[in-house]
Amino acid sequence: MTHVAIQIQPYTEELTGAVAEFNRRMRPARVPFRVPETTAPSWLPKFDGRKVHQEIFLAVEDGCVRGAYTFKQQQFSFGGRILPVGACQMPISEGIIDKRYSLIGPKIVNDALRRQPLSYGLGIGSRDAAVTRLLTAMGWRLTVIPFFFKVRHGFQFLRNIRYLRTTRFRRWLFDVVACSGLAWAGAEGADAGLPRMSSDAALSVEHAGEFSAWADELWWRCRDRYSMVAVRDSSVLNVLYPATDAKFIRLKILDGHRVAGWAILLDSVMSDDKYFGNMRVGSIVDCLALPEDANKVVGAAVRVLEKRGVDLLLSNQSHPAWGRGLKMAGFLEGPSNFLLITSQQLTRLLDEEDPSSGGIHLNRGDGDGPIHL
Amino acid sequence: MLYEEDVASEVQALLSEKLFVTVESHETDLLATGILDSLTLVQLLMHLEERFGLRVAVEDLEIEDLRSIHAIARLVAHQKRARAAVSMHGVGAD
Repeated sequence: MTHVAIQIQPYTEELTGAVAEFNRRMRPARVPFRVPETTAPSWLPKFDGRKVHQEIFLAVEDGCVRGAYTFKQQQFSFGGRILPVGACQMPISEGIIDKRYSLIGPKIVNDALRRQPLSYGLGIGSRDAAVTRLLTAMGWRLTVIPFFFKVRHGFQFLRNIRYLRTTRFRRWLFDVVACSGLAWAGAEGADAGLPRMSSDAALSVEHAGEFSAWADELWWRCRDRYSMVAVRDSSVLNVLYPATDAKFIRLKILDGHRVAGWAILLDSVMSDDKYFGNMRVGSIVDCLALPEDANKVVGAAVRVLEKRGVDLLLSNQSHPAWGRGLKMAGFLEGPSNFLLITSQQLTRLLDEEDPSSGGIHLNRGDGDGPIHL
Repeated sequence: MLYEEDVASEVQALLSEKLFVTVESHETDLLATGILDSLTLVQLLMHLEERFGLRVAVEDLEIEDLRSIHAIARLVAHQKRARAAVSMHGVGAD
């Protein structure tokens, strides 16, 4: 019996039709994403000289596309040592709908590891997801990145938080509390009980345009203070958060004349969102500072978002200093489905560099970026 | 051939003991019937490596290599023969 080998190869122009056909076949599986029907990914396409970029690879059998994944390549600092790292994103296999292609998933993972043994996945969404279980079976290690939230407008929160409004009784209860004024009292009371944020008169906030030499200088001060942090110099930041993209709020936080840090924020009015209904959600997407300055940057970012009138503030932060900063600013830690999964080789490197994993700085600026926010 | 039959019986036992699946025939299509999916396939490969002392490279595998117990037995036998040849060659070279 003859059979055709499956090759994993870069996405080239002549395969766009086969990709469209693959997407059509996969539609019944209700996968939450499709393989782009153009060869370049819409976010971070590969250009010469770009330090951070994405490429799409396809599993091809005799001209038919049977699977795909997007691979983000970026440099990371491991305690000051700069190494290339890959992020495996949106892997999809025809094995979901046709078990004859069950080998595609492991082949995709293997291909990513061949391109970059230091690889990770971020986000994922569930420990029970097929991809999580597959990667775990292949020896990857799973870690939860903490999730923090702060309710500003209790009424809006209780009326809109679909994540919690899962039963008729809960919906009724939340509506009663929202209309009774208890929600407002609860949100204000939570703030009143906080340890005081540093309201240092020396702190000031500027809206940053393009990232420039000041961001490079900050990066050089920070790069060996974290056991794992993606390179965040000005050239990378201007690609990730271009000044031309108005949705990003780019803050530069100064402590006197010294740059204490920066933060990237989003202020998004949701519309019938499956988690947040119609709330106005403020997110601290990305940020950098020395760990001892994290609370100053968080405090400044929170004040900006609150002044804009958001109903709810969110952030995912792995590093304890950023978590502490968020808690000092009134955030609570909630259940997180934002998962980090590291290849065996990356896990080994992290164990050597940081056995407690307490120095990893990852957030929504990493992985597949600030999606769903 | 006799060796492949022995291996096939071992693979059948391994599927039952480690992955808790009963496969009646050595020719049953493990993929089309849904007995193996991507997760159980990886688990099976790890058990094969452990049981037969092999290193199975996913990148060299094709779907047909894992289609049935018979195909898996052929793969294991081929890998063992290749390994034996390498070690004999190694001894000769010394």
